Amino acid sequence: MITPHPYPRTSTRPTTGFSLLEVLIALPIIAIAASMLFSTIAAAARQKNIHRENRRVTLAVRSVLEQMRNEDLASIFPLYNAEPFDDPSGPGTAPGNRFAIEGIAPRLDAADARVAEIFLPAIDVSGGGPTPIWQVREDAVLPDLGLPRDLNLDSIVDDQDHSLDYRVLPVRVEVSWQGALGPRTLVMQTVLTEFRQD
Amino acid sequence: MPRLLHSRSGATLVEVILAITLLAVIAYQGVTVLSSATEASTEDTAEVMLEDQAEVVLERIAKAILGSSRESLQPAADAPFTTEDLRYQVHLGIEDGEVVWSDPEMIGLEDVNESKLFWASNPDEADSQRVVWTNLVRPYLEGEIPNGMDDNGNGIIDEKGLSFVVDRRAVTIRLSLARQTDDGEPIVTTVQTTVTCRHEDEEPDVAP
Repeated sequence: MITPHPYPRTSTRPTTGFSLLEVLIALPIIAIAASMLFSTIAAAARQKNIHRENRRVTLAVRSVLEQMRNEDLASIFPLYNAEPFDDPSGPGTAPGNRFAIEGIAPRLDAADARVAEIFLPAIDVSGGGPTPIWQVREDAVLPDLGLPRDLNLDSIVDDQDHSLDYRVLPVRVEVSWQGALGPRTLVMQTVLTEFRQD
Repeated sequence: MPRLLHSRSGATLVEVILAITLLAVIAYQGVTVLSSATEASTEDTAEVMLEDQAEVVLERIAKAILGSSRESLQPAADAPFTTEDLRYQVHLGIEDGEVVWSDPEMIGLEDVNESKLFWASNPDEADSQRVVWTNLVRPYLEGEIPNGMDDNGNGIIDEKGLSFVVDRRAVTIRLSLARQTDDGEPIVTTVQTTVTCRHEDEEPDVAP
């Protein structure tokens, strides 16, 4: 004997398929799950590019620092400063203070492909004149390079030009480029010196 | 109650076929995406591993040269001369006021199998110790083919997969590694750096 349900179902909705509300709830959940999956895959791909960028930039900067080390200490400032007219082999013959790195894209607002810049403990003493006059100065306030500091090892920090007699030379290389995740910057620093005085 | 009976009778054949077709299409698309993502990930992993190996080998070579003296480098000719074998001695320290140098060491490519890059101590002696640092060296540097020309534009003709260019105290090291992925896809990576010998030795102990 079949006993009638006390509250007989009058609606047939549950047996006719999904309601619009159910579909609307399910779709975003599926979309979120799919986007999480794809973002994970994309992040792994970007990680590879970041790793590659880091390697290229680091090796390139180290190579330039080693090339600087290969020069006589006294020649490093004229070879690698921003001024082309004091280049030892004639104006414009030295590497200068900026260089490009193969496979590394410049920033979108960069003037050229030279993504790296070398900073030396030098300041422009022209007073805003049309032609900059760069001097290696112990009294320059350049905290990134550890200045003021004694550069000619006479135990005095003075306001003289030490372009010709410095014996230690702090160097900072800054690379700014357009990376896989957007603008990136890497900085490497060292101090060049000669332990043996001939 | 014909409507109620119909609603409880289950899906029609057309509905089932439509549903199965839709599910099959969605599943196929999903599997295709996942498969290509997995394949790309596997290839990326292989590339990164090759790059890591190249970097590790390059670092080993660089550190060996950093600890040597310019006078101990053999062959001693400056750029544009290039070589795939380099001999050197490493500064071990100072004893009784004298610099102590290591036995002669060598980094180069095997004669028979040029894909093997090895380090050797006392390379000319019978008791020479050899360690293979990688066996994935490309026959020629990336971009080079053996045609008597400078294909990659770096000024060196038919440069080998490992090359040393000496410029005064600095040595530029270039290394190209190559391997195949599990799918047979060739992957190549090239690394390059320059290092400077940190030491000086007026009377090198290396035979000319």
